[in-house]
Amino acid sequence: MFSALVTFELRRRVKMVSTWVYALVLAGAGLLLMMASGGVFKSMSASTSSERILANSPYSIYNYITTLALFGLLMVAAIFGQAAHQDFGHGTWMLVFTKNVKKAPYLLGRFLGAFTFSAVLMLAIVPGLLVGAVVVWVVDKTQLAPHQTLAYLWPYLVGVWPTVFLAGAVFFTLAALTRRMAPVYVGVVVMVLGYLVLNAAMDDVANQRLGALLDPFGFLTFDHATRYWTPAERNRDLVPLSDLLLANRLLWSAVGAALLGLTVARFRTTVEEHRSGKDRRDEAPEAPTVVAIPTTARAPTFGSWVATALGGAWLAFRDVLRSPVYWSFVVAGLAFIPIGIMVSKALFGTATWPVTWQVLEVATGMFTPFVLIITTFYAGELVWKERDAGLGDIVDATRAPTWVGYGAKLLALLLVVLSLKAVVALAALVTQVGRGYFDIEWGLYASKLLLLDFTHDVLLCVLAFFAQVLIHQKYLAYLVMVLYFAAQAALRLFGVEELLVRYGGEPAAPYSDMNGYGHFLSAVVWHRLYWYCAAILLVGVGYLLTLRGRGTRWKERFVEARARRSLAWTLCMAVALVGFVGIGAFLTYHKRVLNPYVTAKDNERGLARYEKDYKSFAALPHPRVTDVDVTLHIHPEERRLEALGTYQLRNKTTQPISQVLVELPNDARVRKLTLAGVDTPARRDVPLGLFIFELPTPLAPGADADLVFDLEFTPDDLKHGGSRTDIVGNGTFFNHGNLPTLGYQEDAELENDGDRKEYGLAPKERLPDRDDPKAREKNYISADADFVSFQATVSTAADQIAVAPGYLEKEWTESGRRFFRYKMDQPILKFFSVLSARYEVKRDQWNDVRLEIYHHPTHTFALDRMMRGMKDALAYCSENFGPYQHRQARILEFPRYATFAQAFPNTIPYSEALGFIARVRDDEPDDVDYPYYITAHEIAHQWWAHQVVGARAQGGTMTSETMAQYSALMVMKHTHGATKMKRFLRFELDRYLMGRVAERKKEVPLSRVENQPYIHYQKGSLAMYALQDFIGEERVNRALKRFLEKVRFQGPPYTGSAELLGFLREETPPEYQYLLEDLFETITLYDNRAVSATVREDGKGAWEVTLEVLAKKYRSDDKGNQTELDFNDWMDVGALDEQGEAVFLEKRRIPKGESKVTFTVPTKPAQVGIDPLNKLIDRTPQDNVTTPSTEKPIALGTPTQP
Amino acid sequence: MVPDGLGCVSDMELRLEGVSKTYPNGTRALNDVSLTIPRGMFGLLGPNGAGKSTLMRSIATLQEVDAGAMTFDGIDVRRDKARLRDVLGFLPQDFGVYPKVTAWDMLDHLAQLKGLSVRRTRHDAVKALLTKTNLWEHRDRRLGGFSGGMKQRFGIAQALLGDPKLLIVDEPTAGLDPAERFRFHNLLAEISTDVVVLLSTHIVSDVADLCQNMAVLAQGRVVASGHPLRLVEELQGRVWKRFVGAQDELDALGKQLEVIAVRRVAGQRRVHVYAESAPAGFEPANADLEDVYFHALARASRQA
Repeated sequence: MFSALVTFELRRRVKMVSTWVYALVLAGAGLLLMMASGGVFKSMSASTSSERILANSPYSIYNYITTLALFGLLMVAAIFGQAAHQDFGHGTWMLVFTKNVKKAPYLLGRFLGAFTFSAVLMLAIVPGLLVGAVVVWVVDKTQLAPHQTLAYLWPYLVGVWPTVFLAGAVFFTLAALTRRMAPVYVGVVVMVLGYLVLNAAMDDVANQRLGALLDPFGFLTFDHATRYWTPAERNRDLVPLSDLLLANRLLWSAVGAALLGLTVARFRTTVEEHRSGKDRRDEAPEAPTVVAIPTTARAPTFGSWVATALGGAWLAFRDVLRSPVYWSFVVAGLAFIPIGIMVSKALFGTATWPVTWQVLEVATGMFTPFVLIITTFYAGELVWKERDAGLGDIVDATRAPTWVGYGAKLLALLLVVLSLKAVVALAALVTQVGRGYFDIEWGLYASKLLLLDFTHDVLLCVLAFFAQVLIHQKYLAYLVMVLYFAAQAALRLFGVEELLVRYGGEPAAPYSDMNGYGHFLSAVVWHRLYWYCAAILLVGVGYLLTLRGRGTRWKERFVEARARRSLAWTLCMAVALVGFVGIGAFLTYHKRVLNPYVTAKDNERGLARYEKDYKSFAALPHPRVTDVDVTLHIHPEERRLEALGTYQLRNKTTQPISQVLVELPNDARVRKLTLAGVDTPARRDVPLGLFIFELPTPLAPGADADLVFDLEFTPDDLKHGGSRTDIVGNGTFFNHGNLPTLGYQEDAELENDGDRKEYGLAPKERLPDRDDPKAREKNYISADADFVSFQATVSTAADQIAVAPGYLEKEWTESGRRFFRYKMDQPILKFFSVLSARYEVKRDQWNDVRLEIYHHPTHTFALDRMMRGMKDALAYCSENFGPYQHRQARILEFPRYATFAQAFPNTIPYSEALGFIARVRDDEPDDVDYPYYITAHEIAHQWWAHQVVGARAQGGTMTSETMAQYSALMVMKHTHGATKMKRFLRFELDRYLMGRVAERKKEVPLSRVENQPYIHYQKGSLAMYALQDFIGEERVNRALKRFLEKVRFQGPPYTGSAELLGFLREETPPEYQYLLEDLFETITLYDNRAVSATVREDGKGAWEVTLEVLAKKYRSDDKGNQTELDFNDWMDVGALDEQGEAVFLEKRRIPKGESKVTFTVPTKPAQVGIDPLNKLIDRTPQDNVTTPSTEKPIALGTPTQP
Repeated sequence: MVPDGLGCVSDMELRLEGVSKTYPNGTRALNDVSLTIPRGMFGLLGPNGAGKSTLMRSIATLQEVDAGAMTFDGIDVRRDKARLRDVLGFLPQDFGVYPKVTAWDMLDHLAQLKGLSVRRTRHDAVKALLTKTNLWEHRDRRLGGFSGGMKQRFGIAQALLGDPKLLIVDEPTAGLDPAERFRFHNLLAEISTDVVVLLSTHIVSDVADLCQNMAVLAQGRVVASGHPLRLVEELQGRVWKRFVGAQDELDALGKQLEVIAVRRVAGQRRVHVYAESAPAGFEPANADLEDVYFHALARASRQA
């Protein structure tokens, strides 16, 4: 009977159409994924993936299969549920259980049938992937790793099948014990939301192991196991089923088995006594007063039908409110959103204040998938409501006009979606209040949830509703909606960016406290109007085609439609059509006529053309800017900016110059551009914004000339690809890059060799060699200037303050606008910006340096920390490296359209999303004071970048970014103590190891860094911190000071990492010289492990520790292939207390392989280990320590056993 | 009973002429059906699958027919569905309910859909119908908890909403216990005095008890129609009966004579046959409507 149940289930499923549809969907998705990552669609869209992890690498295949299987899980949830439920659902249970059926074989047979079916169904992904791989092989063989058959099966053994077993057991149990299907859907929702929360929690390095253990799907576990794998490993290795992955799989399989056991134990084969929630009121039967059926009724009017429709909508909505599926979403949302917001931490595991925009953004983001599911689901439920209930004939035969029922259903769907907004609002509110934040912006709640989000959801409702009406097969319409969502994602693959062809498409509208929704709103409104016209057309067509009665054939529906069409309908449709076409034309005019329509792919093509057509200019001598005098008129209310100015140029070469290439942004309106008196360029390349001037009298060596420009920027809100965000209503942040640049820009060339190949360009190195003498002629910050003099006149609206580098010389008001005159008293890099906003200013003083923070009035949370950061960094850097070159330091807040802080001379623009809303709790040992840290980093840049600037070559950013990072680390170490640093450095280690995995070209040693953030920031932090820990902070600082004194304000030849390393080498004691090699000159990683340890009280109150360690050291090439090294290096051995703080640390020589270390600790340690504070780069940092076992104290005269 | 053809009331009647319908799978559900259905109760008898439900749904505007004309009181049913729905009450053969909605709410909702826009009159109507169908004390119960009989009564209540002029009830008494059936018959009789009621059933006694007019439908055709008593009268003197023993005997009879029906009477089988004169061994039987029905069916199947 057991096998009979299994085979019955399988046979039944094989005969169902849905089975084959599911299999086809899975295989198709596999095919698409493989082709997309193999670059098959590359000719259509701009590339985004890393080239170094190949399309069919075991790592990629594991990801494809497990991800697609998650969607497959949604399909099989119903299968497991039905396996348990079908006998109740179909009413056959009385037939089954009156046979001689044993519970256990019955249930397990049903389960096994569903499981076998699901497990086999999931395999449908494999043929899709294989066919995809063949296609990739035909298109571009280099995207493929050698084929490994096991790589296609391993994900099932390790990932998919155990997950299906667990999830299936959950669904099966829910259905079997409740005898209902609804709890199964609840189960799906809870599992997926739970995973999302776990995922958010993984952001914090401290939670990673726990998350990896607990993730029922095993995604986080796989991620954890392969997190730091290099491309070489990802392309070659199967994830080992050991450690956390094994534990996770065993744990959840056991949970699954336990659930099945519970089901067998608790399942009942007898009648379930249904008792309604409350007994009927036992009222005395009212004597009905009216017995005769009233026969006089007023004829219904249009108004009364509207009322009927509203009543119907309300009735249907109330019915939804009574369904457990709905409540599962609501409860899950209310429970998980606050948790999700709580665990998602902004930076270094430290939270921000739950300001309204942020909480709403996270909450709506988390809830969006569920809005899609609910909308799709209830569109079907509502359209089919009467028919599913068997009331179709009765309702269709009533005299209510067709639009009454049709409208009521659509309205009910809108009410459902609207009610979800209330859920999000409640969840967001609970979060804010729960975290002690009471500055709740009710207006923003209303505008974000109702005006912005709900009105967008309406479009989706209409589409889902239309699909149901048109297709008239509930599940087919569901499938069509799922395919629609997939197609939306796929369009991007094919390089289709046009929003007007993607239903509901519109640009994003990020909210900023400074700038509100700003100019984004008008683009959103126009796109919405366009799509609302389309939605009205859909509603109108749906009205004609909606079924009434039983005529499901298209012929009958068309006859019916013709009869339903009325004058009012035709008028409405005509207006909507005119609106749709008209607004579409209006938007297209803005996107394609007034502004060029440029896709990401077009940009890529443009860069390729730039290189092909203009590379010859790289060899031509170009003048260099020596003096900058600019006038910037900012008109925030019009979003307009006028930029006038004169650059004085000098021919610093030894050859006369007769041809000059000048570059401008292609959206700048050029009112005037004159070079050395020539005001018409000989050639102009409009799409690339290039101007080529031919000088009638060549510019002699050493001679000067002027470049005079008058530009206007009027960004169009409706431009394709989004309007520029640096000229806005409040918070303009406009930089030098928008003004003329001279010469060919090598940084602009396509970098990815795969992309280059596509355009017939030879592969290229990212940057010239570290020691290339020609490269030392230019600094890496501005290619067309060395140090320049700078002055700027800036004007803005009367209520705003505009700031540029330099000192304010004069401020005045002219025709209702504010003017500011800034002048720098010494040469600076050609690297400047201007900001303008309605600022409040906080002022302070450090020695004779004036400190100012220009901030949004409500963003006062972290000002003190920033101010302290400025002071402490100024003090540390002045004391250890040399004097500060300015008399003033300013921080200026700008809107969150970008998330960074950037150091300009004496001026630091700082994103509102980065630190201004930081919530650092002093009493929380885990919180990192990142506003303080970032401020210190930017201040340190005034030395490292603005005093010392590296050449545009490998290692250039090590002299600035790494040094700024080091300075900030030291500032933090002195204020917050070394213990805080451990957590901070763990984040840096994590980000470095993740960064090297995501590397697209090649990883290089720190001293050859090619402007890669994960190297010059994260690895830089780790390397410099380790160095100062081993050789001492004073030695490092002495080297840096000597280096800085030597190269301060040095123009060409610019310095670089080699020179800096020379000073470090001189200061490093001989026994630590190998460190410089390991940290800066090579990619070196340790794999250190504490194998075992014992402690024993030595009788004098101290504890003797015996520690077995296993140490390994590897050198990696630029692809991540490792070779093991021999060594005998210095490392910390030490002991930690319960809080993880070191109670003992000592440097010891540790050789390769296993060795034994002993030391004595004053108190009993909680953990002991090798490099316990993770100062060295180690891919498994958590196994460096172990909990020691305690041995009996040595007692004298221990009796020996015979 | 109201004698038909009095001529004092207007000719509010449902007229079907040559109505035909073939399903996409080839089934001929209706084959040239022509009927005139006057005010009062009209019984439509026929076995399962005869096309009764198709015919009723077609009249109730839920289904298109391929050919023929249907008019009711000057309304062209096929063209002007909206106007017909204004005067229509319909109880389908099987229907469901929203299990979580109370009887009152559901009926009130349907009353709105039937155009009872004024709250007071609508509530009065709902109240009256719930009372009439004996559901008043269950009005606050969810429909999911209703028994089959209660559900059927609810269906009747909704069909009577909005004062219909044409009432189509498809197998209304299936699943009702005798008392409920009796009450339902009374209810129908009460309202049928000035509306057209089309009642389909396969229970002959329903028609015999209630209807002034009837038709027998078999394989999509009208095989008999008229006043029930008159139809019985027409058959009088041509129906003969006798008891039979073994199955062989019955089979042999079937070959020689037109067997109308075989009934069990007191444990024995009695066969009715149709013949112009008494066959050997038969004695005259008192024809009833059941004989009319089976005779019509037998003839229809012989023609087919």
